[in-house]
Amino acid sequence: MAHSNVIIQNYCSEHLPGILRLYNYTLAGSAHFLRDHDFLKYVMQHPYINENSIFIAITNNEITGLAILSISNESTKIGTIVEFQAKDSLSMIALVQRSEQYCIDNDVDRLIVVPSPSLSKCSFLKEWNRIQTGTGIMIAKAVSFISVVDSILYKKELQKSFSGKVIALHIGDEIINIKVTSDGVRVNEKGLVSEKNVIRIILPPKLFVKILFCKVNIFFALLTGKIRVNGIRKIAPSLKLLNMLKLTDSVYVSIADRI
Amino acid sequence: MTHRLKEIIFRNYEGGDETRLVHFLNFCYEKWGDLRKWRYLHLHFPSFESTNIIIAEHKGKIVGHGGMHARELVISQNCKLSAVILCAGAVHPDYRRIGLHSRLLNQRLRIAKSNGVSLAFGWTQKGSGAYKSDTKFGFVEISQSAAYMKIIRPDKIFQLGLINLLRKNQKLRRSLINLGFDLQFCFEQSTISVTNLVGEPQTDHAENKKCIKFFLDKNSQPKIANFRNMTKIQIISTLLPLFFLKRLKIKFSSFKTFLNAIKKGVQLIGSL
Repeated sequence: MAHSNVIIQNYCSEHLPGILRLYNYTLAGSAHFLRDHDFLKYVMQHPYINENSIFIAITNNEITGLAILSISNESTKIGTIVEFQAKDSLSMIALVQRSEQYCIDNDVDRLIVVPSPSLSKCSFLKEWNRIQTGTGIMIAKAVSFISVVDSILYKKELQKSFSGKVIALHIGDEIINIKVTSDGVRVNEKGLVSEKNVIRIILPPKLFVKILFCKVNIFFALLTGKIRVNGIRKIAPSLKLLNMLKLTDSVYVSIADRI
Repeated sequence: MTHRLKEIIFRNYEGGDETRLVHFLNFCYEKWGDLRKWRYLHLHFPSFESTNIIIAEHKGKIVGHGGMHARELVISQNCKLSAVILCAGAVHPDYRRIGLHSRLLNQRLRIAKSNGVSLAFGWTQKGSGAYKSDTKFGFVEISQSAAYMKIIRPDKIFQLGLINLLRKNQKLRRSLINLGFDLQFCFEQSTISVTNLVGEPQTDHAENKKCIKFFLDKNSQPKIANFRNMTKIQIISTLLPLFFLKRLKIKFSSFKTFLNAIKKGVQLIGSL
């Protein structure tokens, strides 16, 4: 800590490009909601946030951390770091210490933070209590199955493994046909296909969402009949395809995302 | 009740609805906020469109409200999904249990689908009516990043917790009034007197300084300050080690107070 060369500054608009570069670095590899120029400006407009409560960590002339602190005016004064990103633990600690000091100066009772994904196991968090925020648990639902399937299937991988095959995904009442040819992959929402080499996978809508967010063991779901496949020979390719549908096991959501 | 649902009109937000909506939200959720908060949450959001807010009206009265924000879920550089975050859902207490929450949800998802949205996200309290309705509707609980809290002013949090407890447990409040001595919790910054908290005028025991003082060491204060968010088992399992490790010290003003505490302590525990 004593050897840290992290400088904490208050935010100014010149920092914005550097902050966006920081986001690209810290959020790479974890599922998150897009943060662009407009969204950041929106967050900073929050009624409980002012320019003095936005802190930037700078190491060797590079932005290595950001903390946007809001302080509520309720019966208990709650300090919430609504956006928090840090490249390394030194920047993280320096930012939290600065935020804490700001809270003490402003008579705040408690401070809440969601650390950046790569630093969520940082040792200094041992002194903090893990809590569930007031917003509660996060829930998700697929609005359009075809749109989800079309967006997440890696076409090249599909072409490699399923060339010349038709996959019919029956999700609830909807049937999504995926036709894989050497020319490309076509995903369309049409009725039943009766080709012989079709791989038919039948699963309920909730299970589909659970697969997307890795909330279910696909193999176990097949064994217990929650997922049905047309023929024993088609179990292996079905497992392969269902594994391709896995999006992420956890979504990074800052306090600013939890409206 | 279902006939009422048929009479309800669903429409999108129109300019000028704000004041009525804020009034409605404050009615549904005590101290929801002001116009500035509503404008910030909805109108100032970068992707705001009037179709993002659904209002349910019955005979010209707002009875339901639901909002959503268009976002993009980034999985990797090559994989981005169009998504909506559902927010600010509220149903008038007189119009609950008729399926209005589901209708509001359905309306928003229908609009989202027509805009080419893939996924919908939301937040809810586990076990609540909204949670049960949402899970029936096809929503699935997913993992989100953990939040952490640090208590900066344990005395203030503890005091507010005590006030809240005494307001909700009148039996405990009465027992504390009739205790015959004061309970004082000594924190680094201040001392919290239960006699003062129960709102009783200066009684004999306060004048005679009959009291039991609880001293918590600096590191243990934050652990117990947030006791209102802990279960009874968690409170006991936190307090016992603190007591045996001498991090929690109890001082009696006199031997008589000690005997009195044993006698009245049973009664006090009963009211807890």
